[in-house]
Formats: sequence, structure tokens, C-alpha cells
Amino acid sequence: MKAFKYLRPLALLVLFACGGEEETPTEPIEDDFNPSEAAIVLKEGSFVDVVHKVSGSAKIYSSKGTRTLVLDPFSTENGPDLYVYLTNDAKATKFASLGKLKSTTGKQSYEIEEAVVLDDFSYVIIWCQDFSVNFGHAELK
Amino acid sequence: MKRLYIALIISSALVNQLSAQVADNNIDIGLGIGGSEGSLSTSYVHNWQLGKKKKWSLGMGGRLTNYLGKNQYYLTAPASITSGETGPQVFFIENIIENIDSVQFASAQVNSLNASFNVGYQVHPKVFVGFNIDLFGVSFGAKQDGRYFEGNSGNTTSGKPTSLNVLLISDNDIGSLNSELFARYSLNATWGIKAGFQFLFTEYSTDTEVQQSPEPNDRFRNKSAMFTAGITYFINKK
Repeated sequence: MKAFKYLRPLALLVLFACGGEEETPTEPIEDDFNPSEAAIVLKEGSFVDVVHKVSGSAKIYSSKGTRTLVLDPFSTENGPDLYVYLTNDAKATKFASLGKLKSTTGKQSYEIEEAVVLDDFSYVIIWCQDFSVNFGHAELK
Repeated sequence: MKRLYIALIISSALVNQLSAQVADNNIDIGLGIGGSEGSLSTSYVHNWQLGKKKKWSLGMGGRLTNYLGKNQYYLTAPASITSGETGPQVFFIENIIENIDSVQFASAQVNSLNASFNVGYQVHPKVFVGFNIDLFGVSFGAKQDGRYFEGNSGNTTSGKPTSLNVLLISDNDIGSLNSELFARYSLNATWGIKAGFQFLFTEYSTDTEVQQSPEPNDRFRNKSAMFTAGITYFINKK
């Protein structure tokens, strides 16, 4: 079985060609979103841990026809491919992605697309898309 | 009776001719590795030598491909949706991006058994370059939970590997099909090593037609380009 002697270095070569995971930035951020006096809070909730430690609060503001989700204060453990989802339940059976989580710490805002029907969603989830895992969520009321 | 006799003579002559031309009868085991995905291919190859110098090889074979992928995105498969039409011309048509949705499978696993076509050229007494492609066959694998994405929204779903595989043209293809472009070095009369590139299509069918626009669809395809390396066992030792 001399052939295996040659196969091993080839296998190692291709293993080194594999890429790594993309982590969320950990640098604390301070979003400049400030709700106007006319802005109203449509829904809000507090984060609880699910698979990882997540804390803080979430509020959805409406102002001049624009809806914005604001996480402030906010902190989560890091992971690969973290997204902010609006979902109908804790398992994210139905979801609307608001984009990649901007940072693991600090105030941050996410605009909600017009097409999203807010009544369909009652959770904000910090979702690891790479492993389909709910890091933590806030039930919105 | 006379016709049967002639047919027997002709078929016997053909069999003798092909038997005399057997040049490459081997078993291949290859490992394909890409980003967060990999495959194991086990092939039986039966080639015939062609040309005056017998450097060209052409033949058929069978291949079992086992594919594993982590967090893989499967995109809308049917050509009628991706290109807006069917037929060989879809090879030259740009995809309609807004028609393409995706299903993410955290743990994709597709096994396919296909008949394959092989072609190759002996560039040196010890070096052979070749290309092979699956033609038709079947796929199997466990049902997997997935997440269907339509733009930024979606829902959970589940799916199984599409059962039937047929090579057609471009997005007209159905099911899971493997192909390789490789170079092989013969170590001795019994063993060879090979390396090259593998282009592997795997396909899942969701339990329901999760995509509704522009038309109902339950077929989603993943296209993998991987580096491949493997060993060859020559059955008919030269």
C-alpha cells in the first residue's frame, strides 16, 4: 500500500486550503440613533439567555413611517455568523433577518423593511446562522 | 435464420474488438475537500484505448459519491425559474437573480450512485489526464431540517436528496451529479495516485413547494468546486 504514503501529504495540503469562520466584531459601538420626540415605541422586550449569554433590551421605534429596532444596552457572547432576526417564536420558524449583528457590545440600530409585517413577529433573536442556533432572545410586547 | 447468424457474427466481432482494446480497468477512491464540505467518491472505470497510438481512452463506469457539507446553501434549481426557460440555450443565459431563493441545510448529506462517462489521454507512460462526468442514477440520504430564505425573510422547512439524477445541460440537470478533471500518476502496475478538481452538484427536494414565486418549486441545488486527491487500483495490471 505504498500509494497511501503519497496520499497523506495531498490530504494535508487540501485541509490547509479550508477557510475559517467569520466572527462578529467585539469592539463596543455607540450607535447615533436618537428617537425624535414624535417617535413611538411599538414593541419592546428584554433579552434572556438561550444557548449563550445575551443581555440588554430591544425596542422598536416608529418615526415618520420608518421602523427601527434599537438594542440598548446590549451584550452577547461571540459566535460565528451572528444575525439579528425578528421571529414568530423562539425557534425562528418564521423569520425576517435585519442583517448581521454589528457588534457583540453596545447600542446598535437596525432599520426594518417596509415589507415586514410587525404583527407576525413577537421575538428578537440573536441567531447564529452558521449553526442555526438561538443565542438569546427578547420577547416583544 | 441467416440474419440472426450475421447479427451473431457482428456482435461477436464487436465484443472481440472491445475486449482486445481494454486499456484501463480500474477502481478509484477520491477525497474532495472544499470550504466546510467534503466528498468521498468510489468509482469503477472501464475504458477502451483509441487512436493509432492508443493514447486516447474512452469509457463508462459507475460512481458512488458521498457528500457532506456544513451550513450549505442550496439555491433554486429548475432552469425554468433560474433562466426563465428550458432547453440547451440556458447554458448561455444569465441567471435571473431575483428568481433565486435558497434553503440552508446545517448538515447536508447526499449519497448518489451514478453511471459515468470517462475520457482521457496518456500524456506520458506514467501520466494520464482525464475527465469524467456522471450521466444518470439515483440519490439517497436522510431527511434534513433546513431554513428557506426568500430575500431577508424565511421559514423552517425540511428536505431529502432528490431521488433521480439525470445529466442534461446547465440548470436543466436533475439531482446530484459529480464530475472530475484530474491527472493520474502510475506508481507501478498496480497503483496510481491522482489529483485534480471536482465539480459536484447536489440537490435537495423540500417536503413542500416552499418557493412560490415566480412559480411553485421544491428543488434546490448546491454547486461545489473542490480539490480532489485519490488513489487508483489498476485491475488489469499492465
